[in-house]
Amino acid sequence: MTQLLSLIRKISTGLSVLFYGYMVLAVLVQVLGRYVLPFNVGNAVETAAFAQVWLACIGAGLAMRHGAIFAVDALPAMLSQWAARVVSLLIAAGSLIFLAVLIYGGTILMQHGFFQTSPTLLLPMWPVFAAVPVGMGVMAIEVVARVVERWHDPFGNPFDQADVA
Amino acid sequence: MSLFGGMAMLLLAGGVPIFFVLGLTALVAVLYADLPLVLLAHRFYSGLNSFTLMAIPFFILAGLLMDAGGLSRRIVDFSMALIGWVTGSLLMVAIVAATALAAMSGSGSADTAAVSAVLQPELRRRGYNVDFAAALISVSGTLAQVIPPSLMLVLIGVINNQSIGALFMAGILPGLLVLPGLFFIAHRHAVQGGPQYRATESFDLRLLGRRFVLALPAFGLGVIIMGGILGGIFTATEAAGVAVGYALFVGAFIYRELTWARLWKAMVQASAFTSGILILVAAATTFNWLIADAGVPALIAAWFEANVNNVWAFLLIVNVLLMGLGMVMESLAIILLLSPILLPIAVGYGLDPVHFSVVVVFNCAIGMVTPPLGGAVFVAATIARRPFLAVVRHVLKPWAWMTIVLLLIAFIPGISLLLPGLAGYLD
Repeated sequence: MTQLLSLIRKISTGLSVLFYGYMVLAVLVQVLGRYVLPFNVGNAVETAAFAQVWLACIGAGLAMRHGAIFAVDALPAMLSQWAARVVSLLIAAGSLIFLAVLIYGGTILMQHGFFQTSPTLLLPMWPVFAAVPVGMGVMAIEVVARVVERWHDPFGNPFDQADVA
Repeated sequence: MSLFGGMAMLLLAGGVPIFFVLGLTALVAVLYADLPLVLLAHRFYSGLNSFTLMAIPFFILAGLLMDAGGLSRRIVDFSMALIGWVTGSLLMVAIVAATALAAMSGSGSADTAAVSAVLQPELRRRGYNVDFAAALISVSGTLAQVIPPSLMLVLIGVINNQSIGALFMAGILPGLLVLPGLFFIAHRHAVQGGPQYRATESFDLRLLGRRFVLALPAFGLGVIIMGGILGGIFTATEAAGVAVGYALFVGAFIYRELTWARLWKAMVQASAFTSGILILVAAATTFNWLIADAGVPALIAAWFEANVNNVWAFLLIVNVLLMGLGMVMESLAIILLLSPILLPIAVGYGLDPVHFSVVVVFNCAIGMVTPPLGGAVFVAATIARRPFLAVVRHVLKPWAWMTIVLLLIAFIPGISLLLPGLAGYLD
């Protein structure tokens, strides 16, 4: 189970970085296309926005691990250990309900995407809509993993906030 | 309405992440209104599919690459040569360096972290009060929220359909206005602090020149961003993307400090932080749409109209409200949730939306150094390896000065509107 979780984390982190890199490349190509290159590549920006959707969704689990999913947990941090565990379970349950709704809605969107194309490049939309159920699925796994990994101190401060504005 | 508001506050106080607070409240609202559940996923997707929003990931990455590629260090070194010869020099350097970084990076905490990491060893070696220095660095770092390019200004612009260029110009003077007070507070502390604060080095013009030349490629980043936007060469998003490419180039090929390992680390950190912000923005877009659909902004506007008939009283109430919320809420949440409600009301009172946005963002900057949350103080204290409480008690004087500046910019709109007016952004 730990190995599977580690594999999911490696893949989702790798994909996040990949989509990030693509966004930078696409915008640079757009600017260069306007001022330097002899042909117009402005349409690349449509795919950059799609990459952003994927980055946000597939990176959500990574954000959770880095403490970039903000919460006001000053009050729960004052609870006794068993009460904190109960609250962390309730939070996880509520989170999973919302993620389940997004996964369900995202799957329906994806089904609609089989019959839709993007406005500019006329690309099929289902791979773009798939970001929502896939990414929220990974986040749901992280929600469960977070409860397990932080069972001894549910509202402690296990992450380095130096990279969190 | 009060049911949904009460539910959101309860979840927030219970430690539920803000993303899920917004999502669960929106879910209940959708169920209550008997709307299809797929609507939530659709609004969530639409909130993410935005070209303007892309400026946020790019500015985050540019800030981290500046640190990883040695650009931030060159700017601190230059600041040291520029002002390192006065009494309390390291404190002055901290202020100057944080301000210079603010003009290139959009993240307050990233600036605080960069300046702290470079200066802390020297502060300890010279026997400075590390707690005071950390407090001062955290306050200076928050200027990145106001001085362009600012993530918060981009965010409030995206959420409320405002010109990012106008907001960037409007943030310059309010940010710079904070500096004299910080210099004064740092100088007083140094004068009263003992011999360790006396200058140990004399001014060296040649050293300054050398450090300036070394820092020149790093300063180019600010020129590209602001020059590109104001010159009409790039949009704000494109400028941010080009800034990433430039920081990569300078870090890898000019300073040669950006290794593959550092690049990977910066990309992972940026991915985590970006995803956290973007999904929050998407959830807030859904939440705000439902709030607007339920007529909440109109109800609040009607309350203000009935009870507050003076624009100054409105501004005072808003500032007290935002400063209070800034003590317990993240800047992001305040901007995402409250600005779409408050901005139309402010416009109804005759306030300029650009001016009001700067006031909101400045409040958020103050919130970053206000306990108990005080995110920037937390970062500075962590890097200084000092207890949060030991550092935060030194924040009071700079905090008080920032509050005075806030009142000035709130009640004198010309401070924030002068530059956007001169640049032709305002009618």
